[in-house]
Amino acid sequence: MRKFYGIILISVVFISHNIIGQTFTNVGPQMGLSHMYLSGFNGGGLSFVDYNSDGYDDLFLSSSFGRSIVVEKNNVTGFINVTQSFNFTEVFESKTTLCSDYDNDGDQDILIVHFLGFLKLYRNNGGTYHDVTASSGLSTDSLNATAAMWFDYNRDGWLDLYVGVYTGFGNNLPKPNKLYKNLGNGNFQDVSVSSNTQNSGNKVLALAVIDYNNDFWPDIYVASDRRYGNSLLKNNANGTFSDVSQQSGAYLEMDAMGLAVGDYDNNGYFDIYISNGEEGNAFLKNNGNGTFSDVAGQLNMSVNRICWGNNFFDYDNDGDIDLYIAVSGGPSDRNNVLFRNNNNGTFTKMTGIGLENDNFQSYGCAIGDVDNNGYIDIACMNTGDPVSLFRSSGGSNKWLKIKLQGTYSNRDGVGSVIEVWRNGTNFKRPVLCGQSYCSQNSLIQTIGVGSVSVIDSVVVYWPSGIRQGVTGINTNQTITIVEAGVIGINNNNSQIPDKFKLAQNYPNPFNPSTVIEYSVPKSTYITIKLYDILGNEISVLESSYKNPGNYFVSLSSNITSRLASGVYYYKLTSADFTDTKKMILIK
Amino acid sequence: MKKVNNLSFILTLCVLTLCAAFVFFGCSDDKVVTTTQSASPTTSTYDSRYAVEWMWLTSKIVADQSRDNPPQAGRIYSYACIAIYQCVVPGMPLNRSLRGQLNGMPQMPAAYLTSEYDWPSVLTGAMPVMLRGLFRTLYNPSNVMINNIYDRQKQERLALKDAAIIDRSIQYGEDVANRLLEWVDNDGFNEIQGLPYVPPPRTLNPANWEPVNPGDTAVEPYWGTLRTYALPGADYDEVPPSFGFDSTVNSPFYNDEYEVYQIRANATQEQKDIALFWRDKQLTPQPPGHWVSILNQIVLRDNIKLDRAAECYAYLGIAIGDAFIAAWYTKYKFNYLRPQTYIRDYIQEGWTPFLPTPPFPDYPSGHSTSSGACSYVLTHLLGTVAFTDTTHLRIGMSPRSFNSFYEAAVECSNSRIYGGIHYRNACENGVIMGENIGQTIVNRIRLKFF
Repeated sequence: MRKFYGIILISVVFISHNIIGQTFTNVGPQMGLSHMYLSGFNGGGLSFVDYNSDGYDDLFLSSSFGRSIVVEKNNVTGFINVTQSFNFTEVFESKTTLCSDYDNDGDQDILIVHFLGFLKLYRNNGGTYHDVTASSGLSTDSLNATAAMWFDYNRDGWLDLYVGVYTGFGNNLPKPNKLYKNLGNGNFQDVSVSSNTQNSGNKVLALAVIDYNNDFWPDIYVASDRRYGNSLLKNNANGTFSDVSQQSGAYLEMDAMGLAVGDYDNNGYFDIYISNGEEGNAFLKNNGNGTFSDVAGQLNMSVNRICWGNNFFDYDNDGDIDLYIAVSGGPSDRNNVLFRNNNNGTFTKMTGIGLENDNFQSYGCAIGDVDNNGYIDIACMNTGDPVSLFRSSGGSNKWLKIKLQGTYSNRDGVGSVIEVWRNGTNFKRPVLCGQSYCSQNSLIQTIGVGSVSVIDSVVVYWPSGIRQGVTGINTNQTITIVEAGVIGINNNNSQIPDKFKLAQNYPNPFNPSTVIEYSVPKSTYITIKLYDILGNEISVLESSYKNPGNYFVSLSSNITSRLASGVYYYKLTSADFTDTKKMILIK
Repeated sequence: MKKVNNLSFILTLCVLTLCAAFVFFGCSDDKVVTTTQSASPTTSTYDSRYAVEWMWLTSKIVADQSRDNPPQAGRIYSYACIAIYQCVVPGMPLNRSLRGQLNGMPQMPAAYLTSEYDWPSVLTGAMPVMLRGLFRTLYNPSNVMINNIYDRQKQERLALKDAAIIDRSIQYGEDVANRLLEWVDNDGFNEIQGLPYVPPPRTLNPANWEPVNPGDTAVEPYWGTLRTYALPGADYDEVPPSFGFDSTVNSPFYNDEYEVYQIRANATQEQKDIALFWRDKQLTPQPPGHWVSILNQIVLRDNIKLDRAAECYAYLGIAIGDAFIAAWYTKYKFNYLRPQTYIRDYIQEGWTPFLPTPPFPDYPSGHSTSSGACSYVLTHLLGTVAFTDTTHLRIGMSPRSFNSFYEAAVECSNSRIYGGIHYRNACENGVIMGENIGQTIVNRIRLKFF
């Protein structure tokens, strides 16, 4: 009995350490963040994305009238304002900035949504940015746009753009949202009407992608201010959408100002949290049958203050998603709120972890990992006070950071769902580009797994339809998963191939990285080695015992950077099978 | 011309008589400058830009912070409006101080006859003190805005007049504000903070109000105990009880509630627009601020001079303050249920209104009471004025136009029916009660000596 109490005590201490030990500190001032939103229509949002692929999440900050957006480059110890290098020309009030690789050329392009101005699309051409708004076919009219998001609604491998519009400025004429189809040649086509996504006449402040029915086709949730009614637009998988707001129970008349999408109860269906004013936020639990139920009151998560951006993320890396909400005002105080997921369908409002007394008029909020410590940090856009950056102290739970690289799908893997298996259970996380209130989270997914040191498997459901598994992954590291497999075939480890196979690498020719897929029909020891044209062994890419399954191995720049252009060979060897294929490296 | 000369003679005679009376009665804050020999230009020689700026800032802080509920916001506006009048009334020879008229108001600091005061600068000095005293919490951006306006106005005045005059004026404004804040502190507001309240349950009486939404707590159940401004008591202009609670089909009570139910089902876009326009919820100046905003717009549009504008702000502030105290007193006295409760129980289960039901009793409508009072006093001072209300342009709502203050008040009142949160009797009687309050204010508070 004494031993039993001891175990309980140790457990309590351990849990307390995880809950109480982790704190947040606003390091915005000490890291040089001074930009603030001034007056305007509501506040602005921000993007917390590594735009220059140096491995660190940077900040794109919206601005009130008279100033362009501000870009703060993260150099680990602080932020450097590098706005001037972009030559942004617009000084209209901006709301949303999104970084995405819309042209799949491997670098981040920039979209800026100006509320009382124009959309602006800057294409990144090797580190220089060119305004391609007009030539790309995007609207050059002032739209009164607020939120925007990139997603691949037709799953053709190219990111499309959806823009939310706020009706009521200038006149009361209903204004439509815009869906721009990416034609893949640098041009966009306005398909708002033909796709039935106009959602006309609403006062849109937030947008989100949610595959609410798990059919792998991205659906749209539109949050509307001033009780104009939220909308759920179901993707019909044929280029059109249907408004299913009423029958799904997702129609809510509120002052919706921010959205978060995640599977809070790990039942395999994505739920939606919707911020509101004093009358209370909504929390639409996905019932798994095409309908939703509002459980905000039941879970004591109404907040009843003026709430804006919100994000689901696993702040303590325990394997379930918590919820952060930015607050601009309301009775008693205007501290932002963090709800910790109790992993039993309920949440606890956290106090005493450094998030009190922020007292800022916060609007957009986004998550990233400013110091790459595997614990998510929170950035908030404030009006009248500098942007705040709440850095997490970290904790003892394990984590995995995943960067997706699409090949058939869009380059950043936006629209993918990452399914993580540990201890025989799984949870899933969506990869989105545009969420919260006018904001964008890091494109590197930080996933907490509790005390697990080795993750059983990670399965990526790419927008292309490819289902790709990676097994036995050590935690506390960052990995890149490059899309591999055959479109239309569920390519995972649970399907046992009937013969050995060494596939042609792709892309090929390549620079700097490529992927080699192979199949193993029975348990055996295999090697994959890389040779030059003279037959000299250059590297061992794989050397391990494999169970039956489909696998891939990446040849990355840490090897190819020291190789010259030319022809190389890769060879799979097992006791029963040998095959060799040729690849071409072009520098 | 002869008529004008006669009028001037009469006015001068009256002023001199009054001055003599003040000397006799020793009313220091009124007597000193109410003479034609003042060293200061009269208030009427100035425009009202600074007054509007401060009242605009007050409403912006209310909207940005969204911390104060409608009665609390009303209290802030009331005292801020009264401060504007008290700051500049020494420069208005024909006007009376509110001291001795508003309940408990103390004697104001003296403005000296032989010293020149710059009345806009008095506002510059007073209003930061007032706002910092009235808002229980002022976040950093609000403080910055106050400082910015103060600095700019001071620089503008210094470019026009000697520093000694400006400094004296600012100091006088600060003195007036500090004296007013002593009065503010004694209105009973501090005493009711945090007082527990348990509403009587509907099991005692099916007509009783009950909270309907998660997180609801009764808003200001003790507001009716606060010191009134001009009214002798919170119940002075009380309306009669609404027709009795009745769940019988076709009873007057049922019919009013059924109308709410029907409008919810068949509301026109115009009715929805009206409901939203007057909702004045978060990120807006709140319902009392809407009327302050209307006055701000008209003062600027018609270039109303500072003396006249100060009179308008004074009456408006008193009307807002008394209307909220009286309405809240009556609400909790009668304690009528909201349509959401009635309709769910007797017409349609699970019914929800277009606007969320506020967490306090129905009868009478607070919007209606305050709008009735505001429209009465503004009409009394300015007459029938047509205007286009642009209060909500900044949040994307189109302006609405009215032929008179009364028309606006009636639309505001109806908006609560369109929103599904009041029944008609509560709105119509609310307007009547507000107008009665306005009339009482006009009768009891004399802004002019004659």
